[in-house]
Amino acid sequence: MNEKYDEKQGELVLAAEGLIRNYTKTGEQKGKDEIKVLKGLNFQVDRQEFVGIMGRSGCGKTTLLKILGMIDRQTDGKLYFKGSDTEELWKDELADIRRRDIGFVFQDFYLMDSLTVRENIMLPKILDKGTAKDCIQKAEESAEQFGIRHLLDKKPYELSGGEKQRVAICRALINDPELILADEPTGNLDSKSGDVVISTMTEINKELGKTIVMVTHDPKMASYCSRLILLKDGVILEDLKKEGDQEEFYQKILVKMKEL
Amino acid sequence: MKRGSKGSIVIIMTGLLTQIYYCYPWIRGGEHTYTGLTWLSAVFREGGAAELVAREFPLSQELGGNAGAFALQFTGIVLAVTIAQLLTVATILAVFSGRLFKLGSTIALVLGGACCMIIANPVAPDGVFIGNREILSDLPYIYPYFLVVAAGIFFLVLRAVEAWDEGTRRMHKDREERKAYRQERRRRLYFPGRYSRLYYQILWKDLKYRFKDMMFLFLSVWLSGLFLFLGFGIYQMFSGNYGEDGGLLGLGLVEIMRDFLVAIAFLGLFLIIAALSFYQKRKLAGSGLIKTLGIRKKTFFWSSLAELLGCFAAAYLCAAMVGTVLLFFLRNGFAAWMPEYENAGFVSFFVAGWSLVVLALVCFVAYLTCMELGKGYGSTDTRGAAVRWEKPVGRSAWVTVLISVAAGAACFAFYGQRRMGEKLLLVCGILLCVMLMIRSLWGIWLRMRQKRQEAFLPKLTKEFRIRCRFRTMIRYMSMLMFLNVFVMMVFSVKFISSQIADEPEALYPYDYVYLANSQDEAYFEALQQECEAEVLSFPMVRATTLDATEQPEEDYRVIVVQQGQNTGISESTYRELKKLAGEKPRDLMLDEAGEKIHVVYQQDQASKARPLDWYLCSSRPYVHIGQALMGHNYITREQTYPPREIVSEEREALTGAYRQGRYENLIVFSDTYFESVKDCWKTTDLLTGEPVSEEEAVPDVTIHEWPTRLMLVNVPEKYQERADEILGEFRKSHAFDEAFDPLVKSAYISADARHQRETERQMETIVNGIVLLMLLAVEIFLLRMKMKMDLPELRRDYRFFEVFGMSSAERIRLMKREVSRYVWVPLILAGVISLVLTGTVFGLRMYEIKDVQNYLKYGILLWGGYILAQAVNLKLMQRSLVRDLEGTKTGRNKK
Repeated sequence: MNEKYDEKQGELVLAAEGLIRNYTKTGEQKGKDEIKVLKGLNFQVDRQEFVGIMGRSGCGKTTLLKILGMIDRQTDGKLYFKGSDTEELWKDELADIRRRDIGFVFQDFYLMDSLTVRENIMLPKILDKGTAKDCIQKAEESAEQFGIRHLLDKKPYELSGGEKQRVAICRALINDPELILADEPTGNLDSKSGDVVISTMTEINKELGKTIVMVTHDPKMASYCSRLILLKDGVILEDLKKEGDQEEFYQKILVKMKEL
Repeated sequence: MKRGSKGSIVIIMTGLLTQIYYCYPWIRGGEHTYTGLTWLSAVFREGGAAELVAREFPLSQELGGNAGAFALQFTGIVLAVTIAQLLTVATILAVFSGRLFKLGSTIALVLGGACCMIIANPVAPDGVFIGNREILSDLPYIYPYFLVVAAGIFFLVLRAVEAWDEGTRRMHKDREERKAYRQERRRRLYFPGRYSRLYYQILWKDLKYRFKDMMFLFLSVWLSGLFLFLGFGIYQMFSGNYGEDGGLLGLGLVEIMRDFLVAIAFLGLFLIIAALSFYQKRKLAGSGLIKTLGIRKKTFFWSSLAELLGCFAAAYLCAAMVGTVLLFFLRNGFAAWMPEYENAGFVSFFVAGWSLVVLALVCFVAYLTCMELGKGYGSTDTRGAAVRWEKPVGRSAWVTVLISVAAGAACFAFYGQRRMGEKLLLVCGILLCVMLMIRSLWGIWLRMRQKRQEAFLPKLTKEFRIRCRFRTMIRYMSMLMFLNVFVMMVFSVKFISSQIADEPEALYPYDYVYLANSQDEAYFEALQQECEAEVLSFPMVRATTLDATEQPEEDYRVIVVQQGQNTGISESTYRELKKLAGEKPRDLMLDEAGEKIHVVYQQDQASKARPLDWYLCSSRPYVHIGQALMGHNYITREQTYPPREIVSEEREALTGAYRQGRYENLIVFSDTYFESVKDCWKTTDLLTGEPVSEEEAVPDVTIHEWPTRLMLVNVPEKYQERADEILGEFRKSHAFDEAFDPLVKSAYISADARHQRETERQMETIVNGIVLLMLLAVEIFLLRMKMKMDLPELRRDYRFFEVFGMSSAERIRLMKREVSRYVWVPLILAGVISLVLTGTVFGLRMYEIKDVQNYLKYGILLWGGYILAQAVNLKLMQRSLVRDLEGTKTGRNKK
C-alpha cells in the first residue's frame, strides 16, 4: 500500500486501486471474448462516509459492491480493507471480515424464510459464536431501535417490503460492523417505505457513525449520501462531494445523470 | 561448518583415516624407506633429487641422460603426495575452526589425478627397455595411483557432508517456515469458543423447512439401498447352492442377481446424482446467504456433510430394515413353495456389509459428481445460480459425437462376439455412448435452431424449458433410457428366454452319460446284464480350456483353478451323434493338425452365450488335450494349451446340456488329429502336461488315464434304481477325475439334471419377474420425483403464461407435454436400442426362426404391458400436474 494511504490509514475503510472485473462468456475460453465490467476503478472510502454509487443498469454497480463486500473477487487491481490487501487474506479471513466488519443490505432483502425474524436478525451473531443470551438481547435491542420488535416472532413472508428491509438492516447491524454495503435497498419498495429505509440508513450513518456504501439509481436516494460516485461503462465518470444542502445536491445529480 | 556438528566429525575422522595412507613409508629405496615428507627432507639434505634417486634407485642410471628428468619426475610425484597430505591436514584444521576449506580437497584430488598421469608415462625414450616400474619396484610405483583414491574419498565425503548440511539447513528452514505459517494461520484465524445452541437450532429449522426436498434424496438413497440389500440377499441365498449337492445349481440365478446388482448400482448412481443436485440447488439460496454472512469454510462443510450423512444413514437403516423383512418373507415363500429351497442361505452381515459398502461408494461418487457440477456457481452470492440457464453443449460437441459414435460402435462390435459373453458392462458402455451422442446432437440442434429466430420463436413456449434446463433434462432422460433398456432388453431376455427354451426332456437325450476309461468295462457289463441297458460307446479325450471363470485374470501367468473341462471327440463320432439325434451332420472344415475345431455348445436358449475359454477373452481358445493341469509354465503355455481356431459352431444338446455351456461342451477334432492324441495320456505328465518318457510313465504317479470313452446309456425305467447304484460306484472309483471342479462329474444322470433345470427355470422366472417389477417401480418413482422437483419452477412459469393471456387449453397441453417428454423420448430410444441388442443376442445364442417367433410372442406381451404401465402412469402424472398447476383456478372458473 502506498504512503498516502498509510498516512490516513486510521481514517480509511476501503481503497480501490485499478479495480478490474471481467467475466468470461459462457462457453468461451478464459481471456478470450471477455466482458469487461469494471475497467480500473480508483477511489477511497473514509470512515463514517455515506457514499452512493450511481449509474445506468449494467454499468457495474452491483459487481463493484460485491467486490467491496468480498463476495466476489476482482480480476485485477487491489482492494484494501482497513489497510489490508484483500488479496493477501485467506478465505476464512474474508469470511471473518464479512461477518464482523461488514453488514449487507440487499434489494431483495435476502432473508431466510425457514427462520423467524428474530433468528434472521441474530444469524450473523450466531455465526460469530455469540452466546444465546447475547444474540437474543442484541436482536431485541436492534429490533426495538428500528421499530420492529412486534415482528420478531413472525416469518419473513408475513412482512411487508419495508418491514423486511428493516429486518435486513437490523441483521446488518447486529455485529456492530464498520461498514454497511447496501445494494439498492429501496429498489423493491414503494416511496413511503423507501423513505423510511433511507432515513434509517442516514440515521445509521450519522448517529451510529457507520460507513455506508450504497448502490442506487434513484437520484432522490442518492442525494442523501455525502458523496456520490458516478459510474459509466465500468469507469468512474465523476466523484461528487455533497456541498450545500440536499436539494442542491439532488439538482446537481439530476444534471450529471444526463451525462450517464 | 558448525564446530562439533556431526558433519564436521565425519570430515575429521575421514581426514585422519586418510593420513594412514599419507604417513605410510612407501618409498622403498635401496638403502632406506621414506614417507613423502622424509623423502623431501632427504632431497634437501642431499642437496638434490638426482643424487638421492641415483643412490636409492640405482637402476635409474641406465636411463643415461634421462636419469635427471626421472629424478625430478619422481620427486614431483612425492611432492604432490605431500602437498595433498598437507592440504588434507589444513582442511581438518579449518573444520576444527568452524570453516569449510573445500579448495583443499579439490586440489588434493587434482594432484591425485596428475600423479596417475605422470607415473604412468615412463621418461625413458624409445629403445631403452626400462620404465618407472622397473626402476622404482612395485610399491613406490603403484602407491601414487592410490592418491587419487585417498584424496577422492576425502573429497566425496566433504561434498556429501556439505550436501547433507545444506539439505538439513533447508529442511530446518522449511520446517521453520511451516511452523511460522501454522502459527500465523492460528493467529490470524483465531476463532475461540463454541457455537451456541441457537446455531444447531437454526440448522435444524432450516433442514425441517427443506424437508420435502430432502425426502427425494432420502427416497432415492432408500430405494437404491433397498434394492442393493435385496439383490445381495437373494444372491447370497442362491450362491450357497453352488455345486450339485446343494439341491439346486442356482448358477443362472446368481448370474441374474449379479446383473441386477450392476444395474441397480448404475441406476442408484443416476438417481442419487439427480436427487442430490436438485437438493443442493434448492439449498443454494440459504447456503449462499450463510456464506455471505461469513460462516467459516470448515464449519459450513461439516454442517452440510453432517446433513447429508444423516440422511444417507437414516435411508440405509430404513432400507436394511425393510429389506430384512422382505427377504424373510421371500425365503419362507420359496421354502414353502419349493421344498428344495430349505437349503437356501440366511441373510447375514455379508448382505448388510456389501450393500452398505456399495451404497456408500455410489453416494460418494454421486457427491463428488454434484460437487463438480456445482463448481460453476463461482461467487459466494448464489442467489442467481438456481435459476441460471444450463449450458446446452460446449465447443467440442461434434468431437463428442464422433468419439461416442466410435466408442459405441466398438462396444457394439464387442458385444456381438461370443467371446465377450454378453457382458452387461458393454451394454452400459453402448448406453453411455448413445447418451453422449444424443446430448451433443440435441444440443447442436438447439444451438442452430436458436440462431434462426423465425423458426425458434413460434415454438418458444414448447421449448423454453428444454433450453434452460438442458443438462438436467438429458441426465434424466438418460437415466430413464438406461432403466427402459434394462427392462426391455437385459431382463426381458432373461425372463423370456427361460419361457421359450426347449423342454428339459429334449436337453438330455440319454439316461446316463459316463466319461469312462479302459478300466471301467465291468461297470458297463453290469449295466447290460443287470439293467438291460443299451450302451453306446465313443472314443473321447478330455479337452480342457484355460479358464472357465468370468473373472478377469489377476495374474495371467498363474494357472486358473476352475479350468473349462469339455469333451473332445472325432469328426466321425460327431457324425454318429448327429445321426442318433435324428439330424443331418454338417460338413466340417477341420484340419489334420487339430488347429481347426468345431464346437457344439450344449446349452438351451435361456443360457447366455459364453466363450469356450474365458482366458484373456481371446477369440482363439486355448485347448489342452487332457485333464486340467495343476502346474503351468506360462512361457510354454502354447505347447500345453495350443490355441485353436473355431471354424464352425452350433448350439445343440447332443449328449446332454448338463452344464449349460459352461462345461461339457463338445469339441470336434478331425479324425486324423483325434487318432494322434487319443492315447497321449500315456506320455503326458498329469500335473504339468509336459511330455513324459516311457520309462518315467508310472500310472497315477506321473500319468493318469483320463476319460477316453464317452458312454451313452439308456436303461429301462424299472432298472433305474440299480443303474443309479452302479453309477455311484463308478463315480467313487473316479474321484480323482471329479476333484478338479465341484461341477464337473465323471457321470451324469439325466433325470436329476431335468428336474434341476425345471426348478431353475421356475426360479429364474420368479426372480426375473421380481426384478422387472422393481425396475418398473424405480421408473415410476423417478418420473414422479422429476415432476415434484420441477413443480415450483413450472408453477412460476405457468403463472406467467396465465398472466400474459395464454389460454387454459394451451397451458394444459404444454403441461402434459412437459411430462410426456420424459416418458416417450427415453422409451423410443430404449425401444430401438433394445431391438438391436435383442437381435444381437438372438445371433449370439444361435436362435432359430421358431425361437425368434416364440420370443416375439412373449416380448410383445411383456413390452406391451410395460408400455401400458408407463402410459397409465403418464396419464396419472399429467392429471396430477394439471391439478397442481391449474386446479384451484379451474375450480374458480367453473364457478
